[in-house]
Amino acid sequence: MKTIRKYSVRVGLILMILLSLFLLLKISMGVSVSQPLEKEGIAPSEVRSRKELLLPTQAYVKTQKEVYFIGKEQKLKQILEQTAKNRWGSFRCITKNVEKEWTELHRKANWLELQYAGSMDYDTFANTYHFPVNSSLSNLNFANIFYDWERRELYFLDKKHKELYLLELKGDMEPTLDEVKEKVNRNFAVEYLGKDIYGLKEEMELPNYRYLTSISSYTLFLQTLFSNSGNMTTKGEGPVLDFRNENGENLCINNQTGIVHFQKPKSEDENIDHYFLEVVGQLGSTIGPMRYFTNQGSEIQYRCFVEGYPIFAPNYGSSVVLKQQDRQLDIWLNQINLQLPLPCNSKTKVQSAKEVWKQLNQRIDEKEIQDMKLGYHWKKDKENDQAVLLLPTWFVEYKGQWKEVDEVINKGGAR
Amino acid sequence: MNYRKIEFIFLITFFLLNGYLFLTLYNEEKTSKNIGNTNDSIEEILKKEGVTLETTLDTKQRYGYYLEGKRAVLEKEAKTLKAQTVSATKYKIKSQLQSPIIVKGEESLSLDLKDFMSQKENFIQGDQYHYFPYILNKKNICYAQSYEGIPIDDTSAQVVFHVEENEKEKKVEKYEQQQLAEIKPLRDKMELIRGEDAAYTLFLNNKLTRGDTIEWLSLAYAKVYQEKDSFVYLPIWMVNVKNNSNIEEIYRVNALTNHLMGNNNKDIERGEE
Repeated sequence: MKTIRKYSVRVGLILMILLSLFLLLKISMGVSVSQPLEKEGIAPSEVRSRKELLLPTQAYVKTQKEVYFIGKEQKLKQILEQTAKNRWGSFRCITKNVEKEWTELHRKANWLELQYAGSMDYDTFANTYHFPVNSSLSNLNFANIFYDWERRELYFLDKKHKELYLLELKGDMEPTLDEVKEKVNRNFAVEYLGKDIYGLKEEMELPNYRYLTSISSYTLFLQTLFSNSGNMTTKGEGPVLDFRNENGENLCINNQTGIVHFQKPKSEDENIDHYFLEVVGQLGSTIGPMRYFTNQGSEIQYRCFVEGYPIFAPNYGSSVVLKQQDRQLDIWLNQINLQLPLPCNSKTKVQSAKEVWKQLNQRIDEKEIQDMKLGYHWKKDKENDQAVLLLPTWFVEYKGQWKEVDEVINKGGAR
Repeated sequence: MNYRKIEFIFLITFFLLNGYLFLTLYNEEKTSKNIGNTNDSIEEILKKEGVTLETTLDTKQRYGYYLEGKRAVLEKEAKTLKAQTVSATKYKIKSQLQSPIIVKGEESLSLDLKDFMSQKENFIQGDQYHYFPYILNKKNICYAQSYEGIPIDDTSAQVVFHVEENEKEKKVEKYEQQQLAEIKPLRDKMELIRGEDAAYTLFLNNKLTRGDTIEWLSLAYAKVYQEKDSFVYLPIWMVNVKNNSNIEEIYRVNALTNHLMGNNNKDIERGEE
């Protein structure tokens, strides 16, 4: 009898310990699930959605002879959403004479082309805009989507692998395309310069823009960038503030230049594109209207846009840049952001693309030019310390870096 | 103390600990049930939280702009107004009517005023203003300019009629008018958050608690910046919340970023500037 009592107390004790552990586990899981709702002050739509972040950089439409530029975000989004509603036919991959086929497609009328400045992986794109997911497309990396609306065919161009993927469309996309065809939706006529570059056909005056700027708080970066913001050490040296955690993550904020630099060890199984997309989304609307810009493997850029044009600013302004090294990831951005549009009535004259292209070719080797785009450069507003002016300028991707055309022409080195 | 006694003390301690943990877990589950599961709509979540909805939460996709507006100079035109004593500054008219507008019922009030405003000798560009019921001060009736059907929640774009009330009737003897000229978008059209998202933002910011009632919500443009005579406006959701003690408050949520904005009860100032 004594033995039974002795063992029952021990078994009871073990059961009680196990029960405590079980209950503790259950409570901790419950807390972690309900945390997002309890995070005061953060509403779901402060996070920028994938659809906003991954919009193509621009679109071009050809109805008869002329090709027109479309940069309006709403229009680009509408085109993608409308296309995604289609019923899809068969897939086909064209591997022969891709360049010839691509040129041939552009020769005809009645097409629409959406372009990314960098490459986009199809799975991410399809999941974002609800396009069909297909195992044969899982390796596709494209920068151009071409819509032939007479033959109802959609093409994705993979330049790296020299492949053209064709999808048959069986639905009706006419309402959107009719709108696209309307003059009101076209910004201006463009002409093709080669290398996927379209540019202003004629010299014209484009509006300048003004913005009130704001400075993002440290808390935003600490909460978004660090995987664990507990046990943080802080150090201040001159204008630089340095935050470090026990996971080897480190954030430096320079109060003079506004440059924010975050470093973290790279884990082997991490999908960098997805990680970075998540980070930029979490940084949210506070850092401006950020959109995917380029991906060169070791460097991914997201950039702010104004009325369909990318903005270029010094000290990583208006952008978030991720640089990959063997064992480390570096994220660069700036604390100073565009906050509120302000009235501005001035305009700037912009040269035609052909003229700029000619000037560039006189000074530098064409092979070193990867891309050329009309964008806006960031300039301090003399009348208001807190405001900036955005002025239209030609930019060129020269030796892998985006620079103002004038800078490249003046310093780019004569042949 | 022998070994068996220690075992027994531990057994009781763990028994009590488990009791406490059970209680904690029970409370957790009760709270999470109240908050609702992820499939619940925002309306359902709010109802489960004890918030009453006297209006349907807007779920339509709406669009808006950043707007620019300049103050209109009314001083010169004020001289053309008849049957009233006008004192005008450059941008603002204060008028005392010679014969008051008398109204019998609540509903006819806005119609009678609209009729008064439509006559050129009475009023400057009355066709630009629409009835703006979203103020809490019952002694004032407000008409506001709008852009593409969305009213401007700013005294610089409004007319405020002062209502005198006695047992028999209501009458309007005084009004103040300001106007915006050249209202135009600063940027392209943008998608706005839905009305239900704005209500949910209030909930997440602890502005909606058990027993509160959402009486109405409406889109409007709010002034966010002034530079000389120009103003910048952005679209907001105005959400009127009445609490247990029947105190009403209008919250304003930025319809572009979904941030809760400050300065909620500015209606008190309206018409008294």
